[in-house]
Amino acid sequence: MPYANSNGVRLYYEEAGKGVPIVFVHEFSGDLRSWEPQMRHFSRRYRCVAFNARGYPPSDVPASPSKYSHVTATDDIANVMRRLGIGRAHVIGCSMGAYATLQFGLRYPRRALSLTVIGAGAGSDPAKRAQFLRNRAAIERLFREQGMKAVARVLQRAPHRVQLSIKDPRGFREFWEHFVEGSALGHALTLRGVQSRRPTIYSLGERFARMKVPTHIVVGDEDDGALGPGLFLKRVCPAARLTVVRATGHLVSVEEPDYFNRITEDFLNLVDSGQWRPRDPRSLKKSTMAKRT
Amino acid sequence: MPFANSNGVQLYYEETGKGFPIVFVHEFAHGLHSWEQQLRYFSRRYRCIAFNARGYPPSDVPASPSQYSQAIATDDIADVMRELGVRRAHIIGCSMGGYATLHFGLRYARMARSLTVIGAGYGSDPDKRAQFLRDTEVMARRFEELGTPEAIKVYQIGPARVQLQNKDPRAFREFCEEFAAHSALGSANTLRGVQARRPTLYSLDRGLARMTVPTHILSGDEDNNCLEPGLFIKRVCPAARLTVVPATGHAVNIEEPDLFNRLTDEFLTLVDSGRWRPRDPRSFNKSTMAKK
Repeated sequence: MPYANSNGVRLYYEEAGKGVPIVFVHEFSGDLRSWEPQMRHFSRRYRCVAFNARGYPPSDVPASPSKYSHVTATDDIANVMRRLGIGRAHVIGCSMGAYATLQFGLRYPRRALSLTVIGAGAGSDPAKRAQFLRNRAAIERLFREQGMKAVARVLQRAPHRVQLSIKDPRGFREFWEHFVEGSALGHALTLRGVQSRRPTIYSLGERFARMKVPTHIVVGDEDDGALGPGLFLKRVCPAARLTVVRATGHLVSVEEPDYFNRITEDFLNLVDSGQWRPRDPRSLKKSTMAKRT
Repeated sequence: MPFANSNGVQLYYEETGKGFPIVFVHEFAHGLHSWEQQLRYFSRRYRCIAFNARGYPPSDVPASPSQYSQAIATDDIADVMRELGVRRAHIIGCSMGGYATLHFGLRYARMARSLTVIGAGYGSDPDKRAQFLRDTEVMARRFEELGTPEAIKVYQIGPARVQLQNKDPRAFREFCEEFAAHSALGSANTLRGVQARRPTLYSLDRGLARMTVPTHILSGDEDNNCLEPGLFIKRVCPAARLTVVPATGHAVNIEEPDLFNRLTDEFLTLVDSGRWRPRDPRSFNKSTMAKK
């Protein structure tokens, strides 16, 4: 099995295709298998790399909580790239992986050709922050005390995950079959170390205002925790474009693979062609009329 | 030329294709020709009808501002349908036409099989309401005093129009040329009668919460005045789905015709198949955890 070493922690990865590299960063309740429709589509023209985060076997599951943080998660992307000799890549992340993707853009801008950010921002809303942290703590206990299946029963009925069960029952079943194979310890440590401690999207506004990496934010229209942060990023960051996907929950790439692949291909083509440009400053005026000259 | 009569006002329309009807309702800065890429695409499988609002020649241009309002604009859709023997249709509207489409869903629910609403909501934001009314009156006076070609010079490169200028200069030029040919009187009356007096989207919350017509809201991600109203409709109306289109301004169907046609085709097909359903109530829970 292929592993990349990240400061002593071994991260399992898979690779497919040749060309400009794309690195895929999975979300909390998925693993690299969540990217299967993307790996199959984009490997026709790109070198696709997907890896499992620390805490997600076959990657190592370090036992110490100090080994898990959003900083470490971001460094892990850079280290997987180094191990594979990749200088620059399109980085595509979902949820927790999308947050790491944004951080990668802030901390490693020269190594990112573009960022594609799906469903990022859970836990950012100040009014719901306390509830978010309580939820994380409750789920962490559930992982430790009752294991993966008990957590799956709670998470899979979450308001931004029921959409998949209605649209694609086969995809839904597969997703949660994969989930229960994961490490309860790894998930508990990830919740505590990464999710509960990361700064909110809103607190990073000034840094996103300066970030110049071409960025595509993708959010389901029923993913309430990520809609606000998505709009916020569009407003503060001139490099960001926003897609909201109709009748869709959290995992846009899993729920709507065909549509996601198409809009992502449009975006990557634009960047690869050298014709991408940031938002026109004239579009930020308050009045609908242009200023008279 | 074919005209439909709406309470004595002649409305010019065009028709193409056979099948279940779609009615297209244009925005303030456009006439029915703004739907050209939709008429050519959807007429392969649908009976497509597009008409010019009152105030937009060859439709009549009533001289009195009292002949223009949100309610009348909504009735005009119903009257065009009646004149053409159309009982139910998919309704697709942009901006001002998007407002009329929503009102049609509220007032003529049985005549609407679905609503597609592009870039609706301008003038709804309470913080910008005063400025919206000022801008609207300034524009109305510009039409009266300067004539259309001069009046629209500040409007056609507004903050939600520059995207088209950057993306597709040929389409932008066509838009400006067609806009310049609009009736100054009709435009001024439309601004004062329809746009300045229509209720904000936020005030329609109760009606929208009860409306059960399948609805697809679309907004460009740089259309600052329509993004929040779009989210608002998504939140209050279980029949609504929302698409935000990346790096896009106001008239999504003109800026991104390919994506718009594809998304709309998919939505209409979902509704036609009888498999459309409203939002799952479980998705409204506040917590990210399901209730135990």
